[in-house]
Amino acid sequence: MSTIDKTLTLINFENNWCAQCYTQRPIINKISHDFNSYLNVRVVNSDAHPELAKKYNVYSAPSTILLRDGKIVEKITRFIDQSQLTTLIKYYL
Amino acid sequence: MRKYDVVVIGAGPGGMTAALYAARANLNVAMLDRGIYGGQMNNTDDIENYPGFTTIKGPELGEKMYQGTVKAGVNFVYGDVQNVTVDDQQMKHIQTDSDELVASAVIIATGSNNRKLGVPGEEKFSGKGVSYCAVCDGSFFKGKNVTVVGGGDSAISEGLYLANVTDGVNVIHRRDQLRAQKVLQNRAFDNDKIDFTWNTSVTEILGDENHVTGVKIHNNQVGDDTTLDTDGVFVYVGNFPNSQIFNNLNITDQAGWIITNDQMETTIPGIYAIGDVRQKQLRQITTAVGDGGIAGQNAFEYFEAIKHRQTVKD
Repeated sequence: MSTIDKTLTLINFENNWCAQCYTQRPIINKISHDFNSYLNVRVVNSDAHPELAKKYNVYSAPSTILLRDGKIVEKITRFIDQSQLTTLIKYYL
Repeated sequence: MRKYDVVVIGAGPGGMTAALYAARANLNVAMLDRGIYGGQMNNTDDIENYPGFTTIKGPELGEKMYQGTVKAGVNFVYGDVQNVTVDDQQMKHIQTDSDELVASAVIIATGSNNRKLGVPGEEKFSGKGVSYCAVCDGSFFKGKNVTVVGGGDSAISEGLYLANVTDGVNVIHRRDQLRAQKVLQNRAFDNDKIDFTWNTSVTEILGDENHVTGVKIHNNQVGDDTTLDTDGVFVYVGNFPNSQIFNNLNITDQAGWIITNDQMETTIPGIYAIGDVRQKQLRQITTAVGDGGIAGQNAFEYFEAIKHRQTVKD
């Protein structure tokens, strides 16, 4: 993963076998677009990067992690809709 | 507000078949789902009891069915249905989180969801080692030992899947024999990586601040309580119907399954129910597909009868 410069980072763990990951994908894309100036967004395929799943203690897909200044502030281990995710991001910005 | 001849709610195998039949009868059909098409097939690894395929991956079968509906002219609409109401002209109004659809006929194919164990720790460790989808989450447990709770088809077939990706699987079942199909049972009994703990219920899921570390179990015959170490718990203890949004229609039994006759008709003319959400004995892809064909055809006949009545009236 590249160096993270912005204050807030969102990491979304997904894989090709999880139906809800397909539903989560456009929401993550929209969030990435809406908060482009403030938020780093990284999408991680958990099958391709098990070491990252291990590092962040992720055991479920989709999972979304929010980091502020490099520290985990939220970990959502299920599908999260756009309005809930927007509220969370605004809270930490 | 968008108007259709038929709206199918749910894009699992039943819903896709119903939409296919209705569209091939030249009706204007919308198929609604709040997620990707395929339903519970997306959570299934190998399907070996769907005629025409010796083995096919669940998502692959879903994709093939979906392509068939697209070719037939079905409109796929994303939306989370909030409720369905019927107006004085017997038109059905389907309110989603972002739109309203109106149709002459509605086919309910919302399926069912995994029932939870209802024990301490289950909610707390959901997504942290507690899972209801081996295909989605199995790869997180490479090199680890996991527990499967249940003894039906889903428990055993997903247990077999997990045996391929983990170091070992312990199946905990409250009875002394499995309910799963014999072919699955034999395969599981022959698999060196699968152990069985019989006559036993899980009473608590244990863990540290990050993830699951074990389960507390109760032997129903001996009566003793012990603890087993495990890295993950996969729960397959039955299903409950996704029918809460139709409560206002009064078409379910006490457990929430929608009651229909063998024509898939509910007590409300022009509203049909198919697949897992319906009160029935055998919930399989094949039976959902059969239900879908019947409902699609009957929705067409219902639509034609309305059109005929309207023509006579005019």
